[in-house]
Amino acid sequence: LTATAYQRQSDSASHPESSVRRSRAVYVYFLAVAFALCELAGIGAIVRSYSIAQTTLSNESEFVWFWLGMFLLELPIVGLVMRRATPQAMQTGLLTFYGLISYAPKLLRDPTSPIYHDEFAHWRSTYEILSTGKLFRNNPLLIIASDYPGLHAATAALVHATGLTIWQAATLLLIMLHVTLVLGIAALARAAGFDSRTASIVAILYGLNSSFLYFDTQFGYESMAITLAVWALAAYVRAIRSQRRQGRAGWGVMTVVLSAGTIITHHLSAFTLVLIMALVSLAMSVPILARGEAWVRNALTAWSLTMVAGLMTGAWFVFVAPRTWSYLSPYLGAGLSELMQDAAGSGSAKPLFAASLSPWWEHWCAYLVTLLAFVLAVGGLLLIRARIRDGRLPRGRRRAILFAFALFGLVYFPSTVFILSPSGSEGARRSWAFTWIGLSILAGPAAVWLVDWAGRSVRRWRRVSLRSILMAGLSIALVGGTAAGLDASYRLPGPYLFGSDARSVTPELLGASSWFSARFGTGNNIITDRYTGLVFASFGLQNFSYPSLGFPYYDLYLAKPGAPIEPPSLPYQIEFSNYKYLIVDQRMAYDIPELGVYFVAGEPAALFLPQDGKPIFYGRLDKFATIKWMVKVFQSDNYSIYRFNLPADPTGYQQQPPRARGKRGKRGKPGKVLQGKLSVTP
Amino acid sequence: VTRTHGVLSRFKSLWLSSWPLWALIVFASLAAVRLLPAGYIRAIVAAPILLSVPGSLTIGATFSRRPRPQGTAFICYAALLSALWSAFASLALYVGGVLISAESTYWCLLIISAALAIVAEARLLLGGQGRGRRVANRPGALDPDLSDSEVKDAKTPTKTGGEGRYAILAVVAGISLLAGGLYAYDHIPHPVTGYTFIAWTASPSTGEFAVGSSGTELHFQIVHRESDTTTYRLSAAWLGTLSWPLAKSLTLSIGPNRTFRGGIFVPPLPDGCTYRIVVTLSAIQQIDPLTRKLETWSINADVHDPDKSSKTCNR
Repeated sequence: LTATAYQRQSDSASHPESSVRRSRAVYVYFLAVAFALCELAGIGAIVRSYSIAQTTLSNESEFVWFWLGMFLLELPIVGLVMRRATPQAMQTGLLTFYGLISYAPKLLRDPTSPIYHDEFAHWRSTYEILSTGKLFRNNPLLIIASDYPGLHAATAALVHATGLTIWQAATLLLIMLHVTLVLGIAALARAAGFDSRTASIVAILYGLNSSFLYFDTQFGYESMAITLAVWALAAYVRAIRSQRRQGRAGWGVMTVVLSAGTIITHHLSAFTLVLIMALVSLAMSVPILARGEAWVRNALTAWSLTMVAGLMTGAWFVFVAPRTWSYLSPYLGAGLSELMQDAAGSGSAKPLFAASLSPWWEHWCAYLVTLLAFVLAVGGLLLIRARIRDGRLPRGRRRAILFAFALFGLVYFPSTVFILSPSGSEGARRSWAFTWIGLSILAGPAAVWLVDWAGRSVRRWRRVSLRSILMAGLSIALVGGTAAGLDASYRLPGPYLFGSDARSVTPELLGASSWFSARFGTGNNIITDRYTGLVFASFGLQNFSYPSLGFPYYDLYLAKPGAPIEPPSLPYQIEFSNYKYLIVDQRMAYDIPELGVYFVAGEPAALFLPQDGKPIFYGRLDKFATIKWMVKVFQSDNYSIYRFNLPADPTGYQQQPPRARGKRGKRGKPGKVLQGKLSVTP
Repeated sequence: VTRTHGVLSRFKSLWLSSWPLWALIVFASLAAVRLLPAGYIRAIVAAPILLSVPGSLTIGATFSRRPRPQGTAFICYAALLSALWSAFASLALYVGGVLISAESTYWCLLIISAALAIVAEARLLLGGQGRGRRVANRPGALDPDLSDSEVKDAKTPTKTGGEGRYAILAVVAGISLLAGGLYAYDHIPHPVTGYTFIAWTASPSTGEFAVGSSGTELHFQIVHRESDTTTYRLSAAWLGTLSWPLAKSLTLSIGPNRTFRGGIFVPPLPDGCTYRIVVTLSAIQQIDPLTRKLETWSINADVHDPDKSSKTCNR
């Protein structure tokens, strides 16, 4: 033993290189083990967080565990990606891994069935394709969804080929799309001329946007379309940059095919894709940016591809999905007018994080993320200026492309103002998934510069401190970006919460829906609130439509007991439109919905006027049991189902019970009330 | 070893010269894959084929060898284009008036893949720029469309197959982690919320029943999806300005996850008027958290005798 040890010592002394190699191997081994442990602990912490969340309405520890898990999952990856020594192949591997593990929060949130509003709608559209073999079938939950069948058709094809359920096939497809989205952002950054390390950091920065973890991982058309749009942009930039005709043609074809895919999948993504392409084309036409070798040819390539994508989008909007504009325009128009009113002092701005279930520090992080993004964006602009001055970013394609993406990214900052408008906030949030493409391309080099600057520090403790500060900034941005997107009721599981899409689905609701379908069949026209309608119109396959000013069926609920239903035409409308059933959630009379909506966004504000501190429906829902043209056919703990028997019989049911004949008492008292018999068998 | 190496290199050369045709054969084999039992086993085989072959063939048909996306980019483009072809195939079937089914989608995608494979194979045969990776790896053969930083990246020496190895490792590790998380989440105790309901099972489903001269029994069900036994009182009444008992009430205990069938016998009615009956189930000890009263469930129905006159009915 002694001799072996001596031999080993003398060997290492005589071969310093092998000693260095060995210590390096030990270091790599240690790093790999630490990395694996972090990832395991991270997923464990998220499971722990969800486990706590299941039993409490909102608890700070569920958030602490969740973010601890996310930091353990993501920060080691970020650390490795940021290292200069990490080879390009490993960076790609790390990004792939990042794409997969960043799907974990959504995967664990609803592993077996849809829970978000849009997910129910897209589930229904996919089901329609599978059951009828046709596209463009009416979708009662999201009318516009049927006009954009890309996601549903792809999911249905996967179901056909694999025999998986819709949800399993959708999950498989979404994981693939999420990973390719991350890699697509890196591919776009590389196409824009960044090295692989910067491109990887751009992808990591993109992952901080508010839609990344939850919204664009849901079974929704944007989740597919945004990935297609990003890869279409990567192909588009490659087409512009190609010096050879062959390459230009190939990348041009890829751009057109992927753009077509985006167009048939999602309206907003298609619109944004064309907008970004137009911006790039415009930048390619500005001499101060783009004049360089073959700039006319490049500009022509850019414009022609933009024109093709624009024409395809326009054709789809006009010939296939003409209701797109009427669907989208209210959000933008109302948002703008509300902001104008706020500016004039006559409106009421939307309070941020009102009724939010998340802790205060998430809210602060959400505010800080805009600030951090602004600092990095300014840094990115300064770097561009410096590179123009030192000649490293000469006029030409690369400069023009960078400017176009930077300009698009800067739109994020004014869009944050719309968050104050009740109608515009949703649109603003949706836009961030797109503007952050540009923003991360602008901010990526600044982040790399910061990391390198921190690494240049001579003193080790200072280097470590600076890097820790950067990691802390990244952590804040991760928390804030996610918190700014969806409320905690969407993100974390929990007990039933009235008026929240994601926590409204209970075994009771599913049981009521399946009983209803078994008893009355599918395809019945039903009237109900938004949250009950989600399950009845998806899994229950019933037809549900939201109320409107022309068909204000919330007035049925509002009518006081004994008072006539107003407007008097409502029962006729119900009969004329062939509505057969009313499904009432009794909790409407006791709770205010978490999302601030009973039936549909934009419903009359009067529905939220409390009566003696109680919801307006308090004491008004039991009346349905006595209305002559309604019969109560089902009641569970919280749900009652009534059948409309219209046209109403003018006589109605008698207010006195039937009595036995010829048994009147001496003083002319009525006879005995007729008696029946109850029986029950297990 | 030499023989194995020879076989491998021959196989590689065969693959490189005719991969579109091989890919097409792999896609065609999806018909055989359908013989596997539906679910995870079939998905493991079918999903990679469906989500890679049509896209790979599209890239092969679109690009000559030099500017073609490589490595991870190739895989991503192939996966996305494959998913897109599924959607385009459905659109084509819809436009052609063909119902979208497993068979029609398969045949449509096979035709598309065949067309793409022919173009890709033609490109391969007519390309004539040497073969495969060797050319791509020659420093002098770098794509002129690459940017400076990409050229720098491409010139950085990496082990052959490094990207593929890291990508495979990442996918295996990532999927294992997700599966592990799912398994752990599935095996922690989940709170179960139960419920109870009462509903008519009698026909017709309109809730309006005709009562004959000998009376009628209306059927209903009580479903108890709770984890414990609960005691209820079941009663029936005539509903009007007040409510009058229709039958003697019953007390019943219902165990966990049990369904009871019930019936209410409605006696012959004295006239042709419509009467409303209500069947009510009340929990004897259970307080409704919302109303803070004893929890009750009820259903109602309108009954009438169609053979009798309704002239005397109150309007």
